[in-house]
Amino acid sequence: MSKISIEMSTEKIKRKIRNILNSAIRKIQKSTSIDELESLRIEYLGRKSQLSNILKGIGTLPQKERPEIGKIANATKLKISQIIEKKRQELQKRKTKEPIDLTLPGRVYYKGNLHPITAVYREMNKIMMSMGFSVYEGPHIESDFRNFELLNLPKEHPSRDLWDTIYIKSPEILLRCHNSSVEVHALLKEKPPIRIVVPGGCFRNEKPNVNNHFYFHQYEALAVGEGITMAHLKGVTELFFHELIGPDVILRFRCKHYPQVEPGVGIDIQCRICKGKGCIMCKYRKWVEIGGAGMVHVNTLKACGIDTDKYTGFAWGLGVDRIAMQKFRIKDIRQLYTGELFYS
Amino acid sequence: MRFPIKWLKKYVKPFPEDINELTDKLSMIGFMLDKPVESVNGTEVIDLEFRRNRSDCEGIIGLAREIVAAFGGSLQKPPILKIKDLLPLNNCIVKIEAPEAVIRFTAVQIEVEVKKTPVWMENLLNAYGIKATGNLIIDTTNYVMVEYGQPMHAFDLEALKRVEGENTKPALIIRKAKDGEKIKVIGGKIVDLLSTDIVISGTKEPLAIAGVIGGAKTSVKPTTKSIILEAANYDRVSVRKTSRRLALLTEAADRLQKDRDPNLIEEALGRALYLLQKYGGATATGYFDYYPVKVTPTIIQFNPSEVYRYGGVLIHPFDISKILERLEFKVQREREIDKPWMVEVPTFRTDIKLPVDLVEEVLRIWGYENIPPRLLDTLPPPPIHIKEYEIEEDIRDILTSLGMDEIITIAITSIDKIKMSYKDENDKDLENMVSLETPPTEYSTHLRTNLFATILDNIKTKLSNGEDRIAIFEIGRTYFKDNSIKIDIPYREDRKVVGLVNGYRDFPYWLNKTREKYTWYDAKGIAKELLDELGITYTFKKGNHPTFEDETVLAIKAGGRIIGYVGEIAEKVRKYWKIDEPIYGFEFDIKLLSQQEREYKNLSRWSNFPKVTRDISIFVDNEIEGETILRVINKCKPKILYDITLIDLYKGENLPRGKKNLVYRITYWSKRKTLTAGEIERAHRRIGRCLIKKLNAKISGWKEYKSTKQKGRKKLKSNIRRKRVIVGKILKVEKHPNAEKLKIVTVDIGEKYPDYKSGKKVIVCGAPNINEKKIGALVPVALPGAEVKMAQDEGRTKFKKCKVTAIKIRGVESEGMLCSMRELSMGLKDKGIWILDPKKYKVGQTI
Repeated sequence: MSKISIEMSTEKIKRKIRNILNSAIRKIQKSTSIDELESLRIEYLGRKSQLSNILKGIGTLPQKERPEIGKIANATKLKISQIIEKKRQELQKRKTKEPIDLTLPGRVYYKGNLHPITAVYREMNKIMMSMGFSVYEGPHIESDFRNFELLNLPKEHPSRDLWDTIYIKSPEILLRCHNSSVEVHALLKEKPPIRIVVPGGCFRNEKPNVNNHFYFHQYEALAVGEGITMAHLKGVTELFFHELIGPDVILRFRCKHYPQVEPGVGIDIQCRICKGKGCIMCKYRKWVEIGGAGMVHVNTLKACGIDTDKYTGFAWGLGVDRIAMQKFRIKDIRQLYTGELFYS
Repeated sequence: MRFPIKWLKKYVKPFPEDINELTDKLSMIGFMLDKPVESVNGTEVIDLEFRRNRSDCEGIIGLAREIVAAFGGSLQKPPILKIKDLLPLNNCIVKIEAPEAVIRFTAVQIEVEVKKTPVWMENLLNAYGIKATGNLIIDTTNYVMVEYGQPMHAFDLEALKRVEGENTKPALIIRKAKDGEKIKVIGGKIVDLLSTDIVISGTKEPLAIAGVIGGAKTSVKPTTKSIILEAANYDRVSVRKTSRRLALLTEAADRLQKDRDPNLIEEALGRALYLLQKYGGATATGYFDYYPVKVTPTIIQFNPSEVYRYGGVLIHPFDISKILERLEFKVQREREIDKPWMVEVPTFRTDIKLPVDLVEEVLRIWGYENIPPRLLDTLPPPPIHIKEYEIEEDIRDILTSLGMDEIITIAITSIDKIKMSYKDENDKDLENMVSLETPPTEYSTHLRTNLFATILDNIKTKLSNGEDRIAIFEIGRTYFKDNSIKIDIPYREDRKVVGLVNGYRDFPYWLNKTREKYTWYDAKGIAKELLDELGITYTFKKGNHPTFEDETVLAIKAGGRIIGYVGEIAEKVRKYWKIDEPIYGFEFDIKLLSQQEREYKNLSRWSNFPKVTRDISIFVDNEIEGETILRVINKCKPKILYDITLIDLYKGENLPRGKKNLVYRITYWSKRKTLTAGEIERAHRRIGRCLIKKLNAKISGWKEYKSTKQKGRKKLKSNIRRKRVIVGKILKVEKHPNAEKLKIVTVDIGEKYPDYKSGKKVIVCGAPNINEKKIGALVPVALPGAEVKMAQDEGRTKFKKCKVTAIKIRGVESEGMLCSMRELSMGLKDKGIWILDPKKYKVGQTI
């Protein structure tokens, strides 16, 4: 046990304690192994350390100095032990963990993809189902009666040229050229009020090229009930496109003749590239046609047994391939149906 | 159609100033601006989308009327002359020999001086797009056609006389052509006529194709002074067919294909006469009119409340009638509000037939942009569920989450591909294949009878593009003729889902060098997971499939029917598509799937008590199938059996001939308590006994089971070859000359195993508990060939299964190894060699 000279003043003792603390901190920070830390601990905090001796020798100090010195010495002891512990944890961590290269790739997990057309149909269905519409389906092989006649398109009507039909057995049996034939099934089978959407493919006699194919997809909607007007057609359609494309989309409904509807309108979207000023993408028309719509023709409703004095209805239809191609940045419609879609 | 603004201005006073406002409104009321406004020789021209049902707007005046209706102002009709009061035509005979084809035929004989076309007419014609010829007659006929939309044709009367001959009156006979007749038309082309074409002919030869184009012989020349000017309406279907067949798509034919108002003919001819008189001093000397069935205005009973009923916007009756009157409808209103109006439809509006047509007129002029949009505000009907659609959507979600991509292929393909997608080219399906009468391309002639015919194209394309992992599925329809269908169309559409895999099943990954390939078992696994996720109860059984290779087909049965198949695409089929590597897959029928009961999964409450797994290694004949083994295990099912998984299958050398080795991991679990070793052992034994009894299996590591259990005997785990660990008695313990811690131990393993040169073995051992004191003790001796766990590190913390071999240790040959409990997997004790209880073990016994 070393002897502390009575002549050492309290100031000197305080300074000494401070020096002990500083040298302890320096050495601890520099230490590189847990064993080293252990010897430092013994050196500074052990039975034979300087701090210990100071505390033991407190009895030799004048009475009034004792509490202060004692307090400082104990506080220093505590601080050193805390720093040692912190350093020990740091060294421990470094010891058990090998550093890993965080930039190497993780294992490949793969979830398959829905076809772009399916993905678009899902979005569309979600919007329409929230307004009470149900998905309806019907056959691809159809009769001329349901595909044309009941839709106010008698044989020899010049408008029939617009649809180059693929016949299985002319003139009665064909592949449906629009999903409206499915709407006819619904009008014949279901009773108003009716709210249906018809996703699905249809066929036209076209040679495939970049923008057209003989098989393509449409999305049609039909609502028949009491008090349904063109105001509802506009409201539902506007909501649909706002949800599908964006809230800033601007639509116009202009008078257009379709034999299946009267009044009939064409639905245009303002060209989103030039914002309606005219550019090459919209062929300077400022608007891009996106679909056709109107109030279901009274002849059609009557032919399907629906009381036209009580009920009215609206219908619209749009082509889905083009929308899918835009959303997924596909340049050629044929890619949708061959093996050339690559997911990246 | 093109409309020069200058021309329009003649008839609308005042004319809207802002051309953009004009074209915007015209687009909204039904005449969309097709191209940007052009300027031709200083006059602006607007090109508007043509309205198929508005024949009246195929003339400038028709559109002018629309502009008046939309913008207000008044329609200024051009001056005309009356032709009805003329004397009948007598210098030319007109006969109608095809009355079914002619709605109206009107002709006027006119004498005119040879004059040049006035400049203003030339300018307007050129701006429209018809080149002015300079000849007043020709240009006037074109001018009036564009102005009124009514085509007309002038025959040179002298030419008619020449054609007819010296002493006969010229004749114009409207008849059906005869097959084989020819005519040289204006422009020089010679065309062949059919009996379905309508012609205007003399007594000898056709002189013009009615409604399409005139003949060269009798057309107006620069010197023509005497003409028969005719305007007519024919059967428009016939005109259309003729014009298209002969590829003579003239402006006249274009107009006469539409439903035109025959009453306009009079006005148009009167206009032509006016112009010819004013600019050519013309006089009319004869008139002929064939108009048997006069078109009179229809009267529609119209309730103005229909405008709100269809349009959803309130328009004052005053505004409604104003719009209709501007469009030249005659409106007779009633004082009482609920009494319908009588609206007289002008004859030039051939498109207006029903009250709802009038509603459209009002709404479009009022402006659809002025209808305030509303959402549907009535209760929605109850949802309609289409089971097939709903299950298809679920299938898409499940298969994509299992790593498969969805594809869509087109149902129309070539007959060869459909045939070759079957193993048997004469498969029954093919008898009912649907062919197309009007195929879109030469390779797209039939509808597929299975999805493989079109999906294989898709796979081939992917492989050709270098893909080495294919996992795709399609949900689509197949088509058949079917006379059992009761509705009017004797065809059937079946919906199927087909999934196919080929190539590598995973992706290259730097931590995992080997990539596995897809096998048949992947197809089974995906199909099983699909069915489990759908909640369908099913069984597997061997089956046959027209496209899958024989002996690779599992049929899936549910609800008493086969709902799908798993298999490998037949090599023959795959080779036709030039695909080298095998393709595995499945096919399900959507309708049958949708008819099955679907159940939620059983989620039972988790147990706090731990599961215990025990492996069992069995040897059975090769012919015994996996399912048989599982059935046997399940039949003797101990209550605590929870799961059985096959973890290894070995069919190679080192096995007795004709046998294979399967290792099952069996999980035991109780929800009520922790299982004791005894309970597990009993259950495990039970399973083993069943397998031995029912399948003549040999369980690895079991001797013939003795019915008396010997308590306390510890058993080695099955993986260690027991015959090579034998109980030995220590005879001698000597120090190793070259190693401080090693000893040389001599043990006696008995006489039982002559092939081991049995008797005494010398073994080097470093265990701390082997010393002279242990002479006479019994210890386990592992002989060369035994598999025991050996410590891999100094501290004896890592153990690995290794084979014991005879080896020199520091110069002394050791013929085996003495083992601790840990090394024999009998326990964890490793502080020294396992000293055996002589009451339980004898020298020479195997452990």
